[in-house]
Amino acid sequence: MKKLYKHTGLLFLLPGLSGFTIFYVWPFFLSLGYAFTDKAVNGTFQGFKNFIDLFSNKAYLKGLFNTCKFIAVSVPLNMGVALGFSLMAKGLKKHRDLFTLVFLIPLVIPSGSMAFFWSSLFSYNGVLNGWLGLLGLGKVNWLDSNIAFAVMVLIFTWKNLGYIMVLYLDGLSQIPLDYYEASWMDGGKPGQIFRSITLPLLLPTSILVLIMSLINSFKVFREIYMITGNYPHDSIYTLQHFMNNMFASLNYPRLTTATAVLVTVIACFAQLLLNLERKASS
Amino acid sequence: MKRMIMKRIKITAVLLSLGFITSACGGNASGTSGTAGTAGTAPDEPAETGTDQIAGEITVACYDTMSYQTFLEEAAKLFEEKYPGTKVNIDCFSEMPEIKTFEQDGMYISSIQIEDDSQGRADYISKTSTVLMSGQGADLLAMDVLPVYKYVESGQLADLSEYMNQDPGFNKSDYRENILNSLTFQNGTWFLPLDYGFDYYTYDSTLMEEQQSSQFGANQAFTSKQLMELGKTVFDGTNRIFSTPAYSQKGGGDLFSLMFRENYRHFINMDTKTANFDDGEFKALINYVKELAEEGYIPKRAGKMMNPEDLTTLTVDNQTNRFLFKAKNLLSLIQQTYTGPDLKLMIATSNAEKGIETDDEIAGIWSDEAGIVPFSYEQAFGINANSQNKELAWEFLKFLLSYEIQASPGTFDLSLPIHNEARRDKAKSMYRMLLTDGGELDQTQKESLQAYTDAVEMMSDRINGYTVKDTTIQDMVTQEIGYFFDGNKTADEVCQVLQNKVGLYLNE
Repeated sequence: MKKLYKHTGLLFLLPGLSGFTIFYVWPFFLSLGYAFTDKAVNGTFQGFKNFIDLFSNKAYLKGLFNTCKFIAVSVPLNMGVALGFSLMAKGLKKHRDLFTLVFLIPLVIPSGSMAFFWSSLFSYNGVLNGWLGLLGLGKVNWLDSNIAFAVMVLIFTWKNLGYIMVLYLDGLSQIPLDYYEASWMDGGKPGQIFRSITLPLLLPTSILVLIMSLINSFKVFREIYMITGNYPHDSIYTLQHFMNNMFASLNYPRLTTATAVLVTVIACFAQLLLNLERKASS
Repeated sequence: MKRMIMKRIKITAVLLSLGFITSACGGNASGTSGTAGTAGTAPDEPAETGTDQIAGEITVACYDTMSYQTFLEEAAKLFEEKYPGTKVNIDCFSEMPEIKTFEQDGMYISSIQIEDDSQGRADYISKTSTVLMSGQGADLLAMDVLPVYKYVESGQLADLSEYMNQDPGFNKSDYRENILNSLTFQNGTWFLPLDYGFDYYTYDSTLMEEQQSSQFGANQAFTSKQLMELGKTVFDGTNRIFSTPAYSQKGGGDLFSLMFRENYRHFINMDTKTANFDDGEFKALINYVKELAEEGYIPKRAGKMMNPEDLTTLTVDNQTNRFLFKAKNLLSLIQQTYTGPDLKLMIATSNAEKGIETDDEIAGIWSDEAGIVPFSYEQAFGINANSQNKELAWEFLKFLLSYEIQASPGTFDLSLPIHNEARRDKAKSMYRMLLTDGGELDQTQKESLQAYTDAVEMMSDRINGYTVKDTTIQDMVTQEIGYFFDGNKTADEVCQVLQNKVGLYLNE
């Protein structure tokens, strides 16, 4: 009985783990071989040449730079805005759930509908430029100029705000009220209370949010791809565009090389953050 | 390939013919018997050494069902009969367009509406690419929409020059050698066209003085810019220089597309993977075309789409405009060399306001700025490099190139067979079908046929290259240029966007 209990967790884990292994892990390792060959079919082994070539590929470097820039801007922005709204929601005495629910709506809207909405809004002959025209202003090339980067950040924030808010609201609810009461009695100001109590005690949640935001930042590609296609403006060409186009152009060795590098970097980064989270929790 | 150019828009093509549909069947039937004698001495008998070994099963894949399916199925049937023990499967992807036939004032009118299906094309390319990358896929691939350059770069296509050189049953001199030679790129020949076509220019002889018209002829080649500048010297404000509009949303058949193709090698260098849209040349080009329209040298844009019924009124008689020059394709060459009243084939397209054509003479074949005279094709095939039946695929491709298939009725009616003897015999049977319902040609008609074949061969002799175009780049250019001609973007903005996008695409 004790032995069975010991393996119960593993049994529960098995269905999910099997699916993950069959559909993600196994194909990844299977395709990894391409990263060391010159071509996908009947290719010859060429060591690390693909990895060396990858880091001299202008398109890859552009995608890498834009992806890093996007993460650096959008993830902290998203976290900050979500935390702000969470604090606002926590302070509400009425309609708190409704307030939170509004921010969760983007999560349930299908990507296609969302892409249609953003495209209608930001396209050259779209709604926004129509309004600018009414005001007597010239049209702005929202999706084919450097402004496109800001549009991508906006879409990401809009889509993920509700999800991050829920995580932060959960984190905030776990902070004992006693701490706040003691602080108020000691004459603590709101800014001091936020810096000394809320932020430190939200650290485990923040690390989880950081990991989730990081992962979600790669998912914004779907909407951007639907709105701007395979070859968007330079400023929003990300690593996913590069990899997607490598698949379309049959360059599987370069695709798997880029994937291997990306998976390694994300895995290392996630491990580092998880270690931090464990330390923060303890 | 023409079909690829005629994309992003619904095109209505109507073949008008007095009893054309019924006479076509009868005419072709007698035409076949007329050429049967020469078919017996068909120059493309397979190599004796290989005939006994020809067996097995192959699959031929194509996207464009309308152009390929019937032709391939009939060819496959003949091939299987000729070589028992072989099996050729035909796999076509796109939906067959609806063909409507109706009678109006004693005329049978066939209307084919071709809807551009960019998603369908993308799905087919994606499917084919995925299958090829797994080492599988059809043995013979139609090069109708597939990205040839990418496939060559990733080693998906077999080098056909090896087959052509090593197979004693294949004689290059039986075909247009200048076309076969022009297909070489990336150190190989990766596909073979079954047919070819070209664009040429005509001039209105009533608007040109003799001294000026002496420089024209079927053996000459011109860029559209050369003719435009020449036209400006005689332009008096009455007749436009070109009938070709400045810009068309479908991305073809307009002056911008012509001039872009003329400078394609300058703007896109596939070898060095560089784009040159920001060096001022492209900006100058689009501004030049826009100015031509604004100054009245050319129409601004293509005419509105017309219903098939309306097209019956679009005949030579009701045209009132004259143009100094017109860009035309092969279909018009028959009319060019035979203007008799009994010619029963008239071709009209919904947006081709060609004006009065009765005084048109051949000015020369279309050439690009680098002096390259390219060709187009309706059907071309490459062999899957990973096919387990490459030899059989080559035999079938060779069969498709043979006199037997190339000269058969109902094939390559809108283009020229690449097989020399088949091309001459097809011209003859086509003239007999059109002018005499399959009977014998009179002296005038024979002279007209001679003039036609002379013009075809003279212009074909000028062909010296093939530009491997990329549909992705073409789509990018068509989209951006639309913004420019609609007034939504400046030339600088368009150049910058194209430089970024195409540069990115080439650098991946």
